[in-house]
Amino acid sequence: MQMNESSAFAIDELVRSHYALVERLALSILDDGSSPDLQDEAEDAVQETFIAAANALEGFRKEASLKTWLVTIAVNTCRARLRRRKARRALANTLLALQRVFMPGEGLEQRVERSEREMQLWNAVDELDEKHRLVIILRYVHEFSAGEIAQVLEITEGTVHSRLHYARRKLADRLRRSAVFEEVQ
Amino acid sequence: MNLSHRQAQKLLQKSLQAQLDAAESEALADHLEQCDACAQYQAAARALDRRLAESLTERWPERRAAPDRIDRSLASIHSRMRRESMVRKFSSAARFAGAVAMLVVLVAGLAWFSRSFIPRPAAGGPSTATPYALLPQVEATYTPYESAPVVQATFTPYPGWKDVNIYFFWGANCPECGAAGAFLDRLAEQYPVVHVRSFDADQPENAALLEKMLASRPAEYTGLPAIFIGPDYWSGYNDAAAQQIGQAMTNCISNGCPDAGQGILPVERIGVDRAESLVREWIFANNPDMNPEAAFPLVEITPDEAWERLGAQVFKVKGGVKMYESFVIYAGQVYPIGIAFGGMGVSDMAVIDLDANGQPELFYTYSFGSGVHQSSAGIFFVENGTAQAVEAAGYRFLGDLAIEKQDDQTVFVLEIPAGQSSPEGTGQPVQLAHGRLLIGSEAAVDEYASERFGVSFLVPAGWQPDGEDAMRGGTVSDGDGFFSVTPVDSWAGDLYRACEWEANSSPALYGSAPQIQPGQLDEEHEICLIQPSFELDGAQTGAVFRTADGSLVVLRTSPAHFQLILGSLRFFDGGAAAEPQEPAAPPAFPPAEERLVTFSLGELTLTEYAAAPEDADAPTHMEFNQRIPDEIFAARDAWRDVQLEQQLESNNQILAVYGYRLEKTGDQFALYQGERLVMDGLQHVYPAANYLNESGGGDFALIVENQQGQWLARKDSLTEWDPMLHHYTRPIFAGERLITVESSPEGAGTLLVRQDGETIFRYVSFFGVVDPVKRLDSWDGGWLLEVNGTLIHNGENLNLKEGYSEAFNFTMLNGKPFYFFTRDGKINAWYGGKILPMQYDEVVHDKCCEPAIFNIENSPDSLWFYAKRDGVWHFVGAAAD
Repeated sequence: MQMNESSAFAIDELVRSHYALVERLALSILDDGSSPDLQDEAEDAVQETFIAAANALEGFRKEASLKTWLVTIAVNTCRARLRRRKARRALANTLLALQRVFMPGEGLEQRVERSEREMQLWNAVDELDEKHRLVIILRYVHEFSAGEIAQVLEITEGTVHSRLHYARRKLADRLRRSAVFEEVQ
Repeated sequence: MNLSHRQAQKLLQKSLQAQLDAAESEALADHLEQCDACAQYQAAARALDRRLAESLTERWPERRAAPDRIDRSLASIHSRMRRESMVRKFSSAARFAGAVAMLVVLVAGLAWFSRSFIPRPAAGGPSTATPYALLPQVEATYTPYESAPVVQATFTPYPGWKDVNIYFFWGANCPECGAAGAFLDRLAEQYPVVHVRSFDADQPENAALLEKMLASRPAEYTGLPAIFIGPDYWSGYNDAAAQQIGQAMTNCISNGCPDAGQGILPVERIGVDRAESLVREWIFANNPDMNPEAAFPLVEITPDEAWERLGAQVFKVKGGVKMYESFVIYAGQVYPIGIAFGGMGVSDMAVIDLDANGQPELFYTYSFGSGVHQSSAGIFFVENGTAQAVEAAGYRFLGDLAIEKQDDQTVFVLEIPAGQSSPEGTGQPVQLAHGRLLIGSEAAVDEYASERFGVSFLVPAGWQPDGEDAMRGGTVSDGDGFFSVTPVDSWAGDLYRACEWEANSSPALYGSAPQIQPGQLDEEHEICLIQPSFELDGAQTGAVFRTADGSLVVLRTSPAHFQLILGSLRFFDGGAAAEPQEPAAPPAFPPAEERLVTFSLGELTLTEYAAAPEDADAPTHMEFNQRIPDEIFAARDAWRDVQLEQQLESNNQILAVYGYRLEKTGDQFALYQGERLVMDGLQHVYPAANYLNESGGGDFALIVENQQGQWLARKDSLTEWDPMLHHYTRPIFAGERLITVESSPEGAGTLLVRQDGETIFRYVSFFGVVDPVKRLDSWDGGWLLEVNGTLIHNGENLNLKEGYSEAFNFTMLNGKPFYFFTRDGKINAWYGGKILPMQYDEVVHDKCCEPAIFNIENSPDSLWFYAKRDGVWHFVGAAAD
């Protein structure tokens, strides 16, 4: 694609109007607890998304809403990144957990505020495999309907329902076994 | 439309994210009315749904992007787009150039390979002198072989193959050396991972090397050639030796072997490419689930001294999944050092000889932790030919570390607190003792070993025995400290229940709201930690785990020493293994006509239907239901109907005293006081609790549910009721007092029993996704709480009193208390003050998710459940006479 003034303007518009959406999407998808530098990586993914969108802008035929279309690109961009650095879970290292539990000045108030249960839930979500984690994030963080999720992930609505069902069951299971030896931020 | 449980659950799940159509809603509502298990399932699913929505939006909150950030991002986007459009222009040319470059590398590589490893005939024809020579540093001439080696034009990489060095010592007056050399060369040709290192043993320095290599081999030396592969060695050469050498080599290629020359001969330094392939192999061998496309680009960070004195190389991953993880490569083997996750990995290194044994070690510091940036240290050492990395398990520092080496036996770590750039203090001394790396104050420790429990750990130096398997001591710096190891009563079979009881055993020591944390001490050992509550964290911490013979023990320590002690806990090798279980005889499964048995047990009539032998099926499978004939289920369905009607009736009996009543219209209920409508649109009504005093006055407590949520209706009030906070229990009366149970604000795992709003009892429980609280009920003018298989009656733990390893399904049958209990491995029931010897091996209960359908169900005078006895699963109905 040749860069010209009008397309540059279109990109600026696109970025300004959808930056927050795409950034939050990137953060939520990339933040599975394994990224050493989440903010930078998310910003990188945001840029990649907009570049990919700009390159494809002419092909955008308004079959989907602009938002769904952009979300689809962002999700795909982030998934490619996830595949590149497939999540490695923090080791369930007792000693680390002990350290965190008994470390002086580790922010007791913070610990009280952010209950153990909350961390367990977050960790359980992080541990889901990519396809199930994605539907949970799109549904609960970004409040997409099953139809929208189906469109973004290019799967049927039935598949969305069954993935959500599976993911929730898995979460319930994981929470029950609750690996508490996870990082307490 | 009649729904199966599975269909109902599917609809429930669907209803969480989409509108059900009218027919679906109606069918689901019908089913839920009939099926308590599915109603519970719905409550749990909705609770998780709400929790997910609330919790995850808190994690990634919506926020506005600052305009300057968008501007920066835009600038970057435009610049990247310009760059990319340039790249695209040249991309087709670049692809071609790349292919050519690759070809050149391949060809050059092949030429190098053949030059390095394939002996060639000397120019000028055969010579008569020495038979063989290869290494450049050894001056010699050589003859061509009978079969000239053929260089293979192409070879495929061999992932998973290990590098093998063959050490070949030959001499001028050795008739078999030529044939041996030719044979070894052919091996090296066929297997690119095999490297033949040849030495002319006539040279004095090579003869000295040979002597050194022979010194560590027991087999007799009978003359040249001498050939070493891994642990094997041959003196002399013939066909039989050739065959053995071939086998030893293939074994080493596939399984890896210690390098025969390790520690004796200088090893060859490897390049980054080779290191990348070794590290990759190691990572995939240890993480089989790793994405096969993941890349681990390395950079070499070997300190000169590490190579010179240890022959070790150090590499760090410079990008990708394992970013900043570091690996030592020593004698072709990979050893991970430090942790980088969330930090920078290895930050400093020094070569020292800490244990002064003449064999130097590599000491290193590393940082990790994305939430809390912290550092620790480790040491890589070689002992008896085996290398390992040992990390300072008990030492963590919030910030970074640097190393200060004073001399070969004296080294300090300098602590750089987070946010500062220079070290604080004079540094912490480092020691290698008790098989552990000890840093700072840890250096002053003793090792404690308990023969009784087969464990050892470190304690501060100077602690004195304080009874059996207990010590106590104190220092000015870290205060009075102690530990004790005690067995948990043998009948408490479950680790987490034992942990709960321990946490509740001494409120004065563990505090008012301790937390229970399950986890793994290592791959084999599960552990349950008890962390004292914050305001009382000076008292005691606990850990429950199993010893090698499977018995449970509790380790209690002063909080200040918990980390040192738990962090250094080791299990002795070769402890008594758990006894192998005798293979069970196949269960005797009765013929069809004998499967249904009805009998009386105390005041209960039991109907047992033998549904399947345990090796055929289990009732936690949805399809198990199909094994029960309809006529058997008919009785259950009748009980269910009775249950609904009876509940409405018994509620109305209670309410009538106070001038209230419930009316059912269609699917819903309405609550009236006289003719005044209190609340309608009620989807659920729970059993009412009642207290009547002698004069006929008193109060009731009834939980009702409409679309807005749940409500507590009493004689003079109607208040909102939070079912989650109260763990889905309803309030009950103990005498005239209203008893409720709820989570403590100090932590969800601590339950508070309240009497008219005032806390009268606390219980610490392990809180998973399945609610630990099963029931709150009135009993004998008091209250009874069932939590995670433990019964607490007016604050007294019945399990501990009666020796139950588990007690569950407390319920009132015909107004008399009933529960199951496990003692000595068998499950019996207790009903109206008598033990009913049911002798089950298993009763399905308190299951989550789909198997929850098979949990015990009750009506006011009957219960039905799935139980196993002697290898046969039964569907059991029990009705009070």
